[in-house]
Amino acid sequence: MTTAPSIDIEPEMKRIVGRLFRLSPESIQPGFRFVEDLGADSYDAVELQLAVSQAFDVTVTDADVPRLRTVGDLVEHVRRQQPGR
Amino acid sequence: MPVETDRTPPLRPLTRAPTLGELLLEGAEPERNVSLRFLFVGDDGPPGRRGDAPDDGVTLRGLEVLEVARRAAAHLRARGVSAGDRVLVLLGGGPAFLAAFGGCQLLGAVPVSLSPPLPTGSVDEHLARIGRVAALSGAVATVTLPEVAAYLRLGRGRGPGGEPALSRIILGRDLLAEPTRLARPHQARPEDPAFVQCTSGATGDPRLVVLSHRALLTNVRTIATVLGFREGDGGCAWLPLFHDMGLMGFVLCPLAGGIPSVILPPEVFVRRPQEWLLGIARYRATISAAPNFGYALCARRVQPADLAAADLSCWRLALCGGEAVSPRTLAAFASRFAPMGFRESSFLPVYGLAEICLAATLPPLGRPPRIDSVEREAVLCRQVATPAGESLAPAETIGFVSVGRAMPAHEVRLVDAEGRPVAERRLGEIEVRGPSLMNGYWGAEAQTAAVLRDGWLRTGDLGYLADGELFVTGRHKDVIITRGRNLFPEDIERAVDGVPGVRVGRSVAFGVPDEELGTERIVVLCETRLGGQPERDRLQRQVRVAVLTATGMSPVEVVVAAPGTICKTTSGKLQRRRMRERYLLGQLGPPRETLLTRARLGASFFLERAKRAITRRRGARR
Repeated sequence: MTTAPSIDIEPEMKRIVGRLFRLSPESIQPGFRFVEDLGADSYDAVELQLAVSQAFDVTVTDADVPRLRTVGDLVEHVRRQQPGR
Repeated sequence: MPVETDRTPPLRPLTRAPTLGELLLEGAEPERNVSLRFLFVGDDGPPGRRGDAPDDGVTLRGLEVLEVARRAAAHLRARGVSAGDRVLVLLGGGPAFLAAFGGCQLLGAVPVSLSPPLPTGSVDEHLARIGRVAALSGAVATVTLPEVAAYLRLGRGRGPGGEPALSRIILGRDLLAEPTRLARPHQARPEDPAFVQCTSGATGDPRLVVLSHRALLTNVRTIATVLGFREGDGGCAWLPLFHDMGLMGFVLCPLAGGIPSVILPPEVFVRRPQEWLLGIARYRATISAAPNFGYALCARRVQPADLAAADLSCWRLALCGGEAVSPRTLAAFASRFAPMGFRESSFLPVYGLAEICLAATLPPLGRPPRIDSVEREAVLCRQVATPAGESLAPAETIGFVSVGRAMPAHEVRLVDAEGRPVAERRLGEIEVRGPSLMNGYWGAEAQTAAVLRDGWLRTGDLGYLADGELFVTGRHKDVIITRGRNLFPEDIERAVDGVPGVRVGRSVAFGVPDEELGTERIVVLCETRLGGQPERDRLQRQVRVAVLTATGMSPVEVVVAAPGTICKTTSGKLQRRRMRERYLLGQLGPPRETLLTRARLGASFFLERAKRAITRRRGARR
């Protein structure tokens, strides 16, 4: 489970997820699961991986993907790779 | 520039086999150079033939391919399949698919190929479709994966009347493990059905395209001739084998032309698209093919670091077909992979369809794709592709990619709404004719007669000819083609109807071109009485999940609208095309300038045809 998400990362993550799935960013909750709540298919997973890597300059490897089930998981994943923020 | 040298290797002799069974028998001869390598097969290979490294795969050479088919044929026969029977094949690819396909050929049975359910999709939806195909084709047996077999055994795959249509269920791996071999292969006639592939009907009902031995072998031989298969050539692709581009392009063409082929599972490509390019470099493949989105995915997703020192200079033919070819995708791919040795002149945008086995047209080899820049307004409003002058702003022009000319012995023409051939640069419906055409749709004479007339196949696609080359501009069917896969709006709408809050029967699905994705974006428009923003946000998410569950693919955009937004005809039919047009005009969401032109081409032509048909009917009544 995620700890309190970073203030900087979360709004940006909501923007990315909102843009990719064409949903309003404000409606995205950290607890949303990508497949069960947001209807993400395998291509969406690939797109998301790419968008997040580029936006935050972090790596999201294929091995990470199965663990990253929710928006909050992804925020936490980015936060851990950005200790300075 | 590293192009063809004077020491061009000699061409490979093509097969003269009259049937696919003969092709397999002939392939056992060492000089035919048959070699099919299946990468990432895991446990799905023949017993004792597991690749050590996951990407090393299993290679079946000449006699081994025949062996696999012989054992599969013996197994099928022992399970009660005989010559002339239809066998449903629900496998994605790999050696098991080869076994099922080859076993049927030696036995004289007819494989009916259909995609297995996708992991993310709803099994129930897919099983209903499988049941319809089984009933329509009268299949006597089904070859599939263990997990699919479990569902089929529960009796969920039923025909339209509820009758169990799937009787004998056979595991693909059992075909490979069969200890005995069929001794005497069936002698088929060239005109006999060799293979049935499923395609879409106008209302989402499956249509079974019956292809004869002669049509299939003519098509693959012609492709091999035009592509100039030669010593040193080899294929490498990630396409599923239930798809014509995979089966005919990377199994039958290599068998007929005597070149090796390497096949990756599509799910590996989706996760790590670089595996495709690495495979080409590693096995020094010269020929590959993919729908447009495959090239788009690589251009956006594969980083130079993923490819290390991979060298793509071996890749002489990069075929692109199965969905609209985008000039932007080709340019992006070429510039990204030029440093690895990829040449833009390797691109071969092609046109074909299931009813003509695989390919109908091919451009000349060795030239960069020909992009025709035409006046947007002329193409939209006057059905003429007038070359764009220098003075026009980019927004006033639109580019189409040439898919070349009809292959030898095949013909392509464009006809107007009255069925009369049109002049060059006039838009019309594409018709094709030639020896690769299907026998017809299985069990559907009326539908066959509706598309086949005087030997010409009405494709339902639109385009124009310029300098004898074909440019495809759109199509009129409601079918959504995304990532090379056909989806039926009806299937999506049915799933959306089940979401609480959506007005039942008041949702439409359509596809619009998405230049960034390099394929069509699925748009769902649904009506609701829910007023609050949080409820509407929830509805959007639930619709996405419902569509994912039903089809295995998510709609990229869900538009929630007030009651009365969606137009129906007086007879109550959903007006998908009209809603699509309104969407593209920005009346239902953000305006999409570049999408609009491409998307509208189809509509106006067929509107014109409908108007004329009505006028004619009125005239006849007078």
